[in-house]
Formats: sequence, C-alpha cells, structure tokens
Amino acid sequence: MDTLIEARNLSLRFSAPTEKKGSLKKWVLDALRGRVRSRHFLAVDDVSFRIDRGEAVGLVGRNGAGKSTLLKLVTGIVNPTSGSIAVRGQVAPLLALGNGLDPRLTGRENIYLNGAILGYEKAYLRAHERDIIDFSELGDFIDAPVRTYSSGMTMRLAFSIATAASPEILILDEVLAVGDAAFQAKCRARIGEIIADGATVFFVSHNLKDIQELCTRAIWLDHGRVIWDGSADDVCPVFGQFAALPFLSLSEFLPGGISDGTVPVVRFRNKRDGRHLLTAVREEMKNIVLKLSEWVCEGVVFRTFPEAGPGTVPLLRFLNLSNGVHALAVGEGEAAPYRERPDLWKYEKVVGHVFPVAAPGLVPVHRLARPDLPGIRIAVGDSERGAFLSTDPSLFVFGKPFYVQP
Amino acid sequence: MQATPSQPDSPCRPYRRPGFVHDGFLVAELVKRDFKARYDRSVLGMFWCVLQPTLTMGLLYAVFSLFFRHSIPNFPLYLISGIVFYQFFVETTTTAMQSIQENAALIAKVKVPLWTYPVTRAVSSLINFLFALVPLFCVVLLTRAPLRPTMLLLFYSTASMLVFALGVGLFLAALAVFFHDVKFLWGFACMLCMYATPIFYPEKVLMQGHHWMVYFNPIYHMIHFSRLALNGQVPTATEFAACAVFALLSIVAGTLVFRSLKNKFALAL
Repeated sequence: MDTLIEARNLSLRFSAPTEKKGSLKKWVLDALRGRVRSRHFLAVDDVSFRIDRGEAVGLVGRNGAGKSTLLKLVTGIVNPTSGSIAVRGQVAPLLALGNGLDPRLTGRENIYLNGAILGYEKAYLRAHERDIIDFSELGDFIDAPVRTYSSGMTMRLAFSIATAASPEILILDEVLAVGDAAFQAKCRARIGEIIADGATVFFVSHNLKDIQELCTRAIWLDHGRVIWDGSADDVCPVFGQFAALPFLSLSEFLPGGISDGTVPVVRFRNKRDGRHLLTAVREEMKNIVLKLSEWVCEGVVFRTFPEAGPGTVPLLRFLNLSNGVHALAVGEGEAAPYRERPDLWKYEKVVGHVFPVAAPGLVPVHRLARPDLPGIRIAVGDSERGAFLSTDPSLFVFGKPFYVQP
Repeated sequence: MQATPSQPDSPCRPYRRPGFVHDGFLVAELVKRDFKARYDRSVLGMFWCVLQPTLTMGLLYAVFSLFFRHSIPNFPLYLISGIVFYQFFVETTTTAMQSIQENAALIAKVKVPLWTYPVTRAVSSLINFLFALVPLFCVVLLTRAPLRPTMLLLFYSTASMLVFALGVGLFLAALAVFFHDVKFLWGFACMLCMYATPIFYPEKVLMQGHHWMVYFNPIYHMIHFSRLALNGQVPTATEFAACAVFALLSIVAGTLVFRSLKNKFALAL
C-alpha cells in the first residue's frame, strides 16, 4: 500500500495577541516597551498519522478541536510550526465551496474563474463545461450573474465545479449540506463515485452518519491532539456520545492523565435489554466492539483506583462465553464461583479498585438483575437504584453494593 | 507515477502542473474577473479606461495651463504623459497592496500560488494603462506633434514602471496583511509623490536646489524618460540605467519581503 498523506509529529502554534491586532503605532510602541503580548496555543498538537491510497478517513471532533486547521496543513495553506506533512498526489480541496465564486460574473464565467482557482486546466474545463452545467441543474441561469442566484443554486454550481474531476486526494469540509435533499443525494452519489474511482478521501463532518457511511476509518481530534485513530464504526459511536455531552470535558469522559490518580469508569447501556457494561480505560474502548446500534455510552459514572490501595478490593469483570454477557465480581471472594467454571466464564480484567464498605465521601454502587434476562444493571447511588427499581419492578438487587468515589 | 485520475473518456489532463508557466490560465482568469467586476453595472463599461485619464487631464489642464503654458513646450502632452504614468504607478501599487486582503476568504481556503494575486493586479493595471495611451496619442495628434521612432522607447519606460510598481506592490501587499495602517499611509505617500514629481509643473522648479528630490525619485526618471521619447529625443545611457536600476532594486526587494512573509498570510488574515 502506498502512503499518500503522512503527518509526523505535526504541530501548529497560533500566536494570538491578547489585545486586538491592527495598528502599526501600537505595535511599535508595544515593541519598544518590550511587551508584544501574545498567547500561544497549539491548534494542532503533535499529530501523526498515515493515510494510504484509497482510504476514506473521517475527521471528528468538537468545534475548535483543530479539524479545519489540520485540513489546512494537509492542503498546504498553512505551514506547520514543527513536524512534517508529506502529501503525494493531486489534492482537490472542497473547503471553499462558493468562496471562489464572484457574484458579479455569470455562472459560466465563474466555471472558468473558479476552475482556474481550483487548479483545473483550461482545456479540461472547456471539455467538461457541459457536464458541469448539467450536474448543477442550472440550465439557462448559467448565463445570469451569480448574484441573482439563490444560495442553493450558488452551492450547486460550486459543488459541480469542484467535483468535475476525480482527484487523487479529495478533502471535504462539511460539504454535503448542499442544496435540497435531492441534490444532497446527488452529491453523496458523486462523492461515492470519486471514492470508487480510487480517490483517497479526508472528510470533516459533524454528521457522523455520513462519516460512517463514506469512511472506513475515523480520527478523533480534541484540543489539537489525536484521541483515537480507529475504525469509523468504533470511533463514531463513542465520539457521538461525547459530542452529545457538551458539559463534559474529554478528561472527564475518557481517562487521560487524571490528576488525582483515580480512573473514571464509563458505563455503556445495551439498547436491546438495558444491561450495562463498565469499562475504565480508553484502550479497552477501542477494542470492545461497540456497535452504534447496540450500545449507548452513558458517560463517566464513577472513579476507581488503578492500583490496589489500603482497604480496596478489585472489581473484576467476567464474560459469559455462552451468551456474551458480562458479570462483575467485587473482590476475589465473589469471583470464586466464576473462576470455578472457566468453561463458562472467562476472566477479562480488573475494571478498577473499589471499597467494599461505606466511608464518608463515597457513594454505593448497586448491581441489579432481572430473573428473566442475563446481564446486570449498574445503579450509582441509592437514588438511581430507586429509580431503576421503580421503572422496572422485576429488577432485584444482586449482591452487596461496593463503594466508589463519585 | 503518472496515473492521471481523470475519467477515461477525457483526453486532457484535469489539473495543471505546478509551476510558473502553468499558472498563466489562473492569472488570465483573475484579470478577466478584475475587469468584469470593475465595470459591472456601469453604463459606459470599459470606456471608462479611456475616459478617466482624459477627464483628469482636462481638469489639470484647465487649472495649470494658466501657470505653466508658456514655460513648457506642448504643455498638454507634457501633462498627460505625466498623469498617465503616475496613474499607472498608483493603480498598480494600490491594487496590488490590497490584493492579498481582498482575497482573504480564498487564501484561507484554497492553495493558490500567492504571487498570482498581486501580479494579477499589475497586469490589470497594465491593460488599463494601455487604454490610457489612447487619449495620450490623441493629444499627440491634436497638438500636431510629429510621430517619431523614439516613441517606441515608451515600451522600455512602461516595462520599467511595471516592474518597479510591482516590486513596491509586493512589498506593500505583504506588509498590509499585518498592518492595516499601510493602506492609509500609502494613500498619503501617493499624494506626496504627486507633488514631489514634476507632473504638472516644469522640471526646472525642482532643479533649483532640490536635485536630490529628482535624482532619487524613480517615478521622475521613468516619466522623464517617456517625455524624452515622446519629444523625439534619445535618452542618455544614464537615463536608461536609472530606470533599470530602480526597477530591479524594487522587484528584488519586493519579492524577498513577499516571499519571506507569505507563509504567514493564511494565519494572519
């Protein structure tokens, strides 16, 4: 497989002046006083990845995570502060739908102007002028000034020009939100065609469905760093849950250098039967096949200690080999029955270290089960236990609670 | 590896190769856009290219012919040659200076060789200048000045002026990205330049005790050269050299500044 895009330790530092920029006089005065104050921050922070020919990679992340900046580094619009980016092949950037169109020129004149800006050869535009006009569905309006177009018409023309050829590398920044539903479907089909032609695609969208449909792989960026580079089917559901919880910072949602030494535990709920799955580390979330259709991430529910400490017991997770359902055992005492049946129960891991008895500042975690279904539900705190029991009367509390840091 | 990703039925290459030569189409399209956009929705359209210098000349002639008619032989031709070249300089530098900022939206999104923006403005100004030569030659004919072979030397002064102004324009364009003040300063500088250069007053005025103002004024040399050519005189070797030296100094300095700053444009805009 040959690599078309390779980023190595890519960083971009912005120096945003703390005060508004603009005046020469002020700058000279400040420079003389030795205080051109600016705040540095890394818009892209030590990012490394490789994209091979024919791969379709989605880029996800919250607003301001550095997605667009990373695309600008890939297209060469900005240069990295450190690290390197190598791009081999013709890049067609669809970052600028409509930006290259001049409202004062007619649609036809804009085909040539915007085409030239996007890097097409004149002869190619001549040969494909008809196709572009046909695809845009503008008909006779093509000879009217673009300022008379509706915004949908403008975007249709821009999309038609931008995708007039199948490039080796296609960079898409939120471009599928073009025009009406029928035209959007046409756009998707065209992008699919370009991918089928063997193009390598780098795709930013807030629509995770589009990413899962078009991309095989997804890269999750947060504060300029790569959080997770994996299969789109793995990354998108987890990111989707994170994106839906805007009040949680990433360090709360996913462990990563937590200062007090505890590890957050993330709870997943099965959509079909409501059973829960607890997991502590990010690496494991990558490995667990969490199908979007089956599991819902409920975020961080409590914290555990990564190492055994005074008064703690391990929280062990077992997998039932016959039905794929997990069980939790508090301490080795509870784990003994599972360990006796290695043909049925597979020991998976220690989720974390928890307290077996109540103490100030700790909350109880209850395990609940139903007689007719395998699997358990995890209720954090007595109020959640009450809520679960009242919504589903056939649930019963299973075993003793364990105690954790909230 | 020459695998072109175009559709198999298309005989031509879809994307241009990187490089100076292959950006010609881009510059041509940008120049076309400049003209179409400038005269969009104006009744007279391109006719303004000719009308504007004519009107300026008419106005200045009405005012200054009272003072200088007798001290300058063929004052109308003296005046319009000065105006046309001065306007060429001002237009090239001013529009080139604004070219990066005015295309900010594009520069932040599409990778296009950045030099094409100021160069486009210089080419547009050159075309405008060529239109302005129409009223200039009308004045030549109306004042019954003879057409002389030395007038071909106008190509030389025009080329020097173009290169000189482009150099200044590149320098200003790069600077204006970071300091918006440059735009206002340059407006003032152009006005200063108009009064410091013998455009509508005789050269003698400055020769009395202000030699340096003339010798170190590149615009003066290029206008002076053109006037000699129009009057049928062959400029001296020093005059040839002065035009070339100023043009080269300017383009080298402008290019160096532009090149050293251009990587920061996308972030600063």
